[in-house]
Amino acid sequence: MTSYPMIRKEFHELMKTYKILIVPIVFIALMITQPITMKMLPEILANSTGLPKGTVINIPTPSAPEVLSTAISKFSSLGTFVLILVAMGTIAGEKASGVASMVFVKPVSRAKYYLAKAVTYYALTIGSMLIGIGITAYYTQLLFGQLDWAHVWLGTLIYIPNLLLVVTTTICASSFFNNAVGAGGASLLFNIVIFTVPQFLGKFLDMVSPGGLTNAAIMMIQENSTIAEAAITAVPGLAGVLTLNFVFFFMGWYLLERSEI
Amino acid sequence: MRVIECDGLTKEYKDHKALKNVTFSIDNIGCIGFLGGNGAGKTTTIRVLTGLAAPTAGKVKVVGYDVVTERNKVTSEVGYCPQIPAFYNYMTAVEWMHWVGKLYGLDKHTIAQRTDELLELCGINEARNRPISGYSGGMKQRLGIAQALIHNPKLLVLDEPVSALDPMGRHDVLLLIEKLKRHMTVFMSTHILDDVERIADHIVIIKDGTVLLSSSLEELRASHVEPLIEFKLDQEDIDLADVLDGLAWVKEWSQDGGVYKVFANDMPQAKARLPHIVLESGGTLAYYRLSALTLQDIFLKVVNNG
Amino acid sequence: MEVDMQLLAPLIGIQLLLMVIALIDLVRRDAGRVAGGKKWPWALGIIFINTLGPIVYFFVGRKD
Repeated sequence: MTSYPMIRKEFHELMKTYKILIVPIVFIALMITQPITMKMLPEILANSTGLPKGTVINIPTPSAPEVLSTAISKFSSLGTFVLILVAMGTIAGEKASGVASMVFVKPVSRAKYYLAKAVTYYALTIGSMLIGIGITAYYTQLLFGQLDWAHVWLGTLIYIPNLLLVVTTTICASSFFNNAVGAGGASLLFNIVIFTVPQFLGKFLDMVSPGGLTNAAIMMIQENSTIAEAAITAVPGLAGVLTLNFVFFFMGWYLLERSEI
Repeated sequence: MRVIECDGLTKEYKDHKALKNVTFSIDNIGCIGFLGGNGAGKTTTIRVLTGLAAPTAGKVKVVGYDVVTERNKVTSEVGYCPQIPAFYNYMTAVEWMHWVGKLYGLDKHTIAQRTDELLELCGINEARNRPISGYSGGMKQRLGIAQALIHNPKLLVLDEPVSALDPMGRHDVLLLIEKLKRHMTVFMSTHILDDVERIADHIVIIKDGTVLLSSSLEELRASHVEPLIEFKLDQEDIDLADVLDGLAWVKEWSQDGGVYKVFANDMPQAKARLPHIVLESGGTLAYYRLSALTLQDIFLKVVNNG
Repeated sequence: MEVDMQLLAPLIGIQLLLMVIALIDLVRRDAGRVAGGKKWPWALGIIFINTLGPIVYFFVGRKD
């Protein structure tokens, strides 16, 4: 009965803090820059000095799927950073301010509190990503030509578990730490490691890592392969990343149950 | 049913023992003053009573329910306001009250009614639709108490409810507690003896994580308070030692800087005779009064002996 | 250059949107709940530093 007011409060808070607007807008801004700079690149080069007069620069115009896939791969690091900033204080900040102790003396289980936080930030992340990719893809299509939307949406769906992993690990850290900055720092460190290190640890670990999943998503969006081929490539990555999500979700929950507020 | 039953409560952290075998029980309506210095273990005890922290050892029952195994039943019968209450600052008092009411599973109508009553009772009705971020410390304290009462708890636990407030705010909150204690048990931690003296019916004294004393204030006074007469002479060269030693109704006396303290076996006799004796000795009284050990004296006595 | 303006329109729109939201939030907030305790430096930052100004304000400038 009490999970409903918890979730409602979280959404109310998203609105009051404008997170519900900022996150999608920042996601759009981060991704849409790519098609714009790609389009302007020849002109920028032509206007830049230092090239002898009469030099002809021949840059092949990239295709729309290529532009969009670059947008996603460029988005990864900054998008991760934004999600960490948005979610790092959700539990740690409430512990630091003392609101958590006001809440936990009421008949609210920590499980419901934790679940409400996770559900809210998952929804925010998924919604923002869908809006961001939708607008960026539409704009890319205007500038560079037709896209296959089935590939775009499927690629996005394949990519989303990576963003959810960022949210899960940040909330998990937020359960453990008693201040938002500590939680954010720990989550950032962890995400840098998990997104960059596995590719050096052999083919299998690379395939099941978030990096592997990003590659599968890009392969889907690039439209160089059929949907079925790209989907099969994504299976190990999906399995790996969803498992990580699962593990850190329960770890965060456990840490919150164990922690003394 | 006992409101609070603490049996052998022990709480250990990695580096120290915060509570050692805390045992006391409370079985009446009224105000319980939970006294102790800084670091004595007051807040830790309260965190266990409200289910925020789990005891390392011992059995703790609040309103008849075990705080570990029946936590949900405890939380729905107990209201709690910490020393510095915190809220979601973007909410207004009314929004917070409604949200808290829903957490307790109350229906909309009840919540609206209780909110009106409690905001009025706690004196924050004028600010009810302003965001809590703009509230003063005293207003937050009063909202903290109001929201702890929304579900009509049997036990209200307050951690140092007045120590962070200015004199006016302190006065208001103490008056409020005085009203509340007629309907429920108010368990209030504090290090200010005056507050306890004013409103508590029962006191529990804790020091270094151990309960030194748990007793009703009346009993405490009766057992510790010995009537005495205190007086001072204008003339410092007059010595009453021989006279006082020779009186049967004087139990004990002391003299310090011309101030005499006389403990009597027979108070009416002492009151009737003592002024005459002084006058007969040729002295005049600078002052003369009936006195008693203050709660401060008792507190120091208990703490130092323990 | 006309083409360029059209190209940049979405980015400019996003920047304006962020700026407006940040300014609305800043105006409705007490000075005490803004990092540093003063509002005008934030107003300047939000208006004159593209995108980054409002974002920094949202994540660091607000104290709740």
